[in-house]
Amino acid sequence: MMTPRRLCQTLVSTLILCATAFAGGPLYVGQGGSIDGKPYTWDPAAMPIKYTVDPGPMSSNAGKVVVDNATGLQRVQQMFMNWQNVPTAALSYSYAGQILAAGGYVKGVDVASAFQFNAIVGSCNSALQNPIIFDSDGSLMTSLGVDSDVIGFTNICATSASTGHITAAMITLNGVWINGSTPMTKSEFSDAITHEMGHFAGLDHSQINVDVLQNGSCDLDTIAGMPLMFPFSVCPGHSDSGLPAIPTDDAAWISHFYPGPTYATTYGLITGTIYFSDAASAAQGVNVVVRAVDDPNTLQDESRRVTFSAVSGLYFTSNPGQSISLGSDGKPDNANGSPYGSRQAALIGYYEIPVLPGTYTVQVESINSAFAQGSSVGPLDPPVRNPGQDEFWKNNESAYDIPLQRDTVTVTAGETVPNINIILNGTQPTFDQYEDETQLFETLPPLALLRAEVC
Amino acid sequence: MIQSRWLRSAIFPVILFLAVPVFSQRGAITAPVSLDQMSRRADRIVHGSVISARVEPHPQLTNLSTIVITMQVQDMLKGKAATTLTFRQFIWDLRDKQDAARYLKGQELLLFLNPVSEYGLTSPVGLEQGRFRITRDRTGKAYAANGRDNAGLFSGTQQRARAQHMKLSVKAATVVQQTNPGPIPLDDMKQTIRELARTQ
Repeated sequence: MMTPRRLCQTLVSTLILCATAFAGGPLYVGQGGSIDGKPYTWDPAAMPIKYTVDPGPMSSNAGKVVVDNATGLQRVQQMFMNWQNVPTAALSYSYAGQILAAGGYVKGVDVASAFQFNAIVGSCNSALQNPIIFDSDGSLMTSLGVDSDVIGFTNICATSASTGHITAAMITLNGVWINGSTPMTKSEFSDAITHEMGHFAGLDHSQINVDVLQNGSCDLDTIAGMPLMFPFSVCPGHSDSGLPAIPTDDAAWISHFYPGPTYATTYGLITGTIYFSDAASAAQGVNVVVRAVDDPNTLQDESRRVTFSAVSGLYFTSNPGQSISLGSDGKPDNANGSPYGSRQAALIGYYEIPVLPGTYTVQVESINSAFAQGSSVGPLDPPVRNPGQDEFWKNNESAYDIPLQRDTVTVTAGETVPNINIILNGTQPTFDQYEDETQLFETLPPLALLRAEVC
Repeated sequence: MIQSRWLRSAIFPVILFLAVPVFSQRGAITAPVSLDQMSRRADRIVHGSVISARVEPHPQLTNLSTIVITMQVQDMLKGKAATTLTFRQFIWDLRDKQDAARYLKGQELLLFLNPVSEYGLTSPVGLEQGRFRITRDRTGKAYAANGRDNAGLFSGTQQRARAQHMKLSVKAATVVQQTNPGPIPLDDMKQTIRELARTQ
């Protein structure tokens, strides 16, 4: 139960906090050797990434072609171009023609059956091609036991544990969603698949301006600041809103993982560690959000628009292993934990966030409880609640400071500002291997919620 | 409990305001599905516990990774009654291959399963939306929450129920009025599912 003291602290906090936001980072992280703690990315020396495309129609309805192959191909190229056009990222793609023959699949034939799909997956698993498959009428999804609600899926087919590179991937698109039988627009579909292409490049989800889930306020500043890699699409898309297809946070992270020649002269870096109240134990899975200080001379709210984020412990493993509970199928394999993510203790609460030059506030918040399983953000799934209070960073961090008191961090291009550490207020002792999951949720409520109830 | 009340009032009645909201899942992006839609589309709705979950290649489509899950059935809410249920699900995400898509031995689940395809494959309706994890509080009362923490689970359900002249009990009608995410008492959920499945 919340103690009166903690309740009071939180109530005080609500009087001041104006906005909540949330995170970014890698989909998979290497473990051990030279790739320890490094994100899995495509080999920068092997650019452009060549993809092959299904020769059939992108979408059809009752046997009638709705989006033909030429148009579908053009759209896929544009979606990849959205990422390629980030000027500070050395990421490029090129169309390498129709899907190559593989096993029982004959080149030039519309991919329509599970057997053809299987053959193509085999070639992707062998890193022979990066196919884009058009399931024009959803029948392929049905064959695979997947229902029509799946708009598309990305399969990282192959990785190299020695180099830390993604070596092959594929995307399957469900054309039902643009055949006129659903209300989805062309640009909504494009945003959804461009999001999948973010995963294709190795990006995880990120959470910024998540308070929109509570207040439904999709104003332009909020939309502009929301990452394309946000787990849910709940506001009009960036393209429909006249905004760049790749928002600020996504552009920063794709550039961080694929730095182009101008990255170092365009971005700076904020790094730090999130600690429990003992100021010694690091806390993983806490969202760290960096927001530009609003410029009162503009009509825009820069604190909503110019935002970047990461989850603490983003390079640390989600499961270091333990010997208490069994793994799947009754095997005691949990002792080995996850093969992804570093085991270096120094990375448990570490974060780093690429930012444009400017002056920022830094704050910590919980990951939204609905962002679990495939919608998860950062290494922990399900997410843990922030074990302390939502708070801002300040120069004299302690476990007893006023959560909404804040100092600013100024970053210049090429500069790394280290040790922006936050000591969480009022946490319970750090979790251990005997902790039950209920414990994780019995912490303070999010400030925004409390504000809503108070007001 | 004060924490859980706040937690439940946490978020959004709001997923509706976009024309087509979408959810991303492990390597997939999906449209939201509400409980009545899931109840209608599911071929089987089962409450039970995972006996085993193993990752293996599909027997014919050998390049495809699948997970074979066997469950001890506690309650079959839709579909043919059985004491155990085994199904095979296609998985494409590296993490799913590593952690058996987080199906854990002993885990209690409420699953809405799609019809089995000609290749013997199925999956939860709407992927993680049709997969409810059962947890119990300190008194032993069971709660169900899907992979979206039940966000948007009842979007449009009331309207569709009215349009289809469904007769819902007071309890079920109360359940489908919920707009906030968070776990729902399992008994209430099952009663609502039975009514939604029966009237369709």
